[in-house]
Amino acid sequence: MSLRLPVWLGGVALLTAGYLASVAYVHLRGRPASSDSSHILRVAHRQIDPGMRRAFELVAERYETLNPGIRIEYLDVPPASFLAWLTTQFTGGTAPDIVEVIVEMSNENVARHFLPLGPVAALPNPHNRGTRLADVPWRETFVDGLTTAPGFRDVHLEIFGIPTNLVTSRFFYNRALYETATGTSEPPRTYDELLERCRQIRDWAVSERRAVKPLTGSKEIYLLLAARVFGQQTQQLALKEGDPLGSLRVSPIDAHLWLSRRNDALTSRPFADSFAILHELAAFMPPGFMGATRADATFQFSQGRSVIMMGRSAFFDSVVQQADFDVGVFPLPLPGPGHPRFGHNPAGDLTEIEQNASASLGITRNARDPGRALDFLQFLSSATVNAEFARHSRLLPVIVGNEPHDDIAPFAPREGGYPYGLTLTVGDAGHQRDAAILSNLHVLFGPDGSPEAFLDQVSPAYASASREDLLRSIRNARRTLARQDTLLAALAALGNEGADTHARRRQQELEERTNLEEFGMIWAAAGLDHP
Amino acid sequence: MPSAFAFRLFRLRPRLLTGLLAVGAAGVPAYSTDEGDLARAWALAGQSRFAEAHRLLERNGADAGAERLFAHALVLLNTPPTTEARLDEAARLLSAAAQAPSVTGDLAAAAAYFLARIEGIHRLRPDQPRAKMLYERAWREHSPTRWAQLAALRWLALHLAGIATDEAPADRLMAAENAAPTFVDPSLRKDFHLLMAYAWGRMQPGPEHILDHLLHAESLGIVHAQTRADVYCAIGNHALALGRTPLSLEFFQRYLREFQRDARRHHVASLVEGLRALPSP
Repeated sequence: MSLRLPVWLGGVALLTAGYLASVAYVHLRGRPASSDSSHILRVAHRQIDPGMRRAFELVAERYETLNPGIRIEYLDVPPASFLAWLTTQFTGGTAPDIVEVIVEMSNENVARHFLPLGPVAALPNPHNRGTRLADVPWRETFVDGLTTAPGFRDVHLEIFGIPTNLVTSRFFYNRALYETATGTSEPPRTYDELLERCRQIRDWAVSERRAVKPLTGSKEIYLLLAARVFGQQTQQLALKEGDPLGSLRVSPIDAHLWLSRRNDALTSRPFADSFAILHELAAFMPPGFMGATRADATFQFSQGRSVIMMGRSAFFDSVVQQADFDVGVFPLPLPGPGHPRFGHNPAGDLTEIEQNASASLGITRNARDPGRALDFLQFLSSATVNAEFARHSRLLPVIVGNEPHDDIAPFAPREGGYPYGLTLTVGDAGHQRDAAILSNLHVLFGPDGSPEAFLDQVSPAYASASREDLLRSIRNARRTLARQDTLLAALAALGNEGADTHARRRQQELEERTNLEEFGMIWAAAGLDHP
Repeated sequence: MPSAFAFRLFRLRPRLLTGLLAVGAAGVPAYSTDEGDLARAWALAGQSRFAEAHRLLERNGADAGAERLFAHALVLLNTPPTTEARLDEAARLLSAAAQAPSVTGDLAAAAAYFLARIEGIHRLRPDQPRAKMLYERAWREHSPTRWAQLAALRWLALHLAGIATDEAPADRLMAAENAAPTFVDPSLRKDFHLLMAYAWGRMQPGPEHILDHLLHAESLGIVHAQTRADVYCAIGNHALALGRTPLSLEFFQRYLREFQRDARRHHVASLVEGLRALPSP
């Protein structure tokens, strides 16, 4: 008994100490920045590739040298748990000063938790002083003009995040293995050359009894490939049947309308040819590749068990780090207008001029020193620092006029070419059309699979799936329009005050846009029973 | 010069930057008065922070003015959870705002317009015929306010799509064309022409009408960059189809000058090249 009392007391003391420490931490954490020059700027992101980490550290060192007393602290959170982690941070009021704005965050949450950067983006970036971009408004120094998601939110017509790099996709290849198997070091320049090289690699692997596949496969690789194949094969169709204004491109609502109103959409030549191309390429991938993740695919490639792998520029550094061989890069050679079998449908190569900017950083509303956070973002996105950032991370620069480093030059966006047509499969989990296709791909890619068998299997369900998607798209459009009603009334009230020119501009833009989008939505809904 | 000014300004950063961000973030200083609450609520709503705006306004007294009732109704429309009961309450507040002693003609028109929006856009199961009737009422009873013109634009969109009418597509298009004089506000007149260009494109494709409306819209000034790019390309494209080569060239070139990173650049550049190669008339 005499021993139990101190143990009990010790427990209570420990609990009390823990409680007091928590109270003190929360209290101190919630206090505004002290007037002391010592200051920590916390930045959270999900960019865990080594090159990106390296580049972020380099920028931090530069910034800290220029600003004695300031310390940049990065929190790199694994991508799979980033959204959940962020939600917890926002709920608890403990979010870092700067956070990556991700596409998975809803528009409402972005507006609620991040500061709008529109007004300040209209002014020049002070860190560009003395450069060619000195007089250019900050937003116009970015190749996308800060008009692409996830940093820019169309619903609010507002900027919440500043991107750090551009992303394109290419084929990576194992140079040594490729040359050994094909007898040439030249990468394929046409679709037929690609098929021929794949056949050579397959035959070489059989004759040498090597467990090597010509192409690496995974669900992500299929989605990358499919978006491009459908995008190119439907170019002419989109211009002919999906562009009521004659503006030389198809709008999302018109794409939905076309797909839902044509019962023969899947069996029309552009789509049937797209599935045939995907079938041909998948024949060179390992069986069951749709079950593989990006990590599986990268592992297979870096172990020399496949020769060619499609991937995004953002993963290039990671692949180079993992592979103990020389990694080459070449563009995806898809069948163009002159192709004997698949040349009927494309208008030309796919352009990459509108490639999305990536890894956008925004300032949270509970940032302790928003001015300092903004200064850091402007430093990071200044012409000289972004060039260094891109070089050290092996990523494509996002600032106008910054040329990619030699290592990454093959990923430079192709500026020529034509827009995407009707992109069928984008991997959006909520899309019934995609679900109908994804759940039947075994009939296309399986051992006895064929495009014909696949189309027979999918077509009956596809028409109703497309209609469901159109209904969903109408519901989403209506929800967006509903939100914009209050926003427009508010911007009208603020604009009427006379002082808020940013509000007046946003009101005019939003009004113009919503008028047309609403007509598209009403037009689409008018043909349905229960819109 | 603006950059030099900005650089001088930024010498004081980052404290000054905090101030600049605040302009975009909160906008309005804290007042203790009702008027201050209203201004703050509009500033919050302007950033889509509807729930916070609602909290400021829900303490409406019996003597709340028309604008406060109106603002409260608008933020209520988007304050989660958006239930039918809340929509009914928003409609009640809009009606109360329209009848309040302090109401202005403009505010009454806005209230009438948003009553139609509740039925056509906000309800879980929208009633488009009823919305069309309410838009028409707002249009007729509050003309020529800007809100009445906006209501007319919405009415036209529903009418063109065949809602609550037996008219044939050609008759609907003519009825819409006849409504042109309604739109005296230049910005809404531009939106009317854009709507008509799309309507002709969807209902009776042919370059003449579309081109005519697009040229009118363009002359009134298109604000949204993506829409402007679409309109330049469409004008160039339709003018090309009609053999109006100089007009086609003018708009394709304008597009190429203004939109450096648009996906259609290569296509438009090749069309321009083809037009230039044509023999002069």
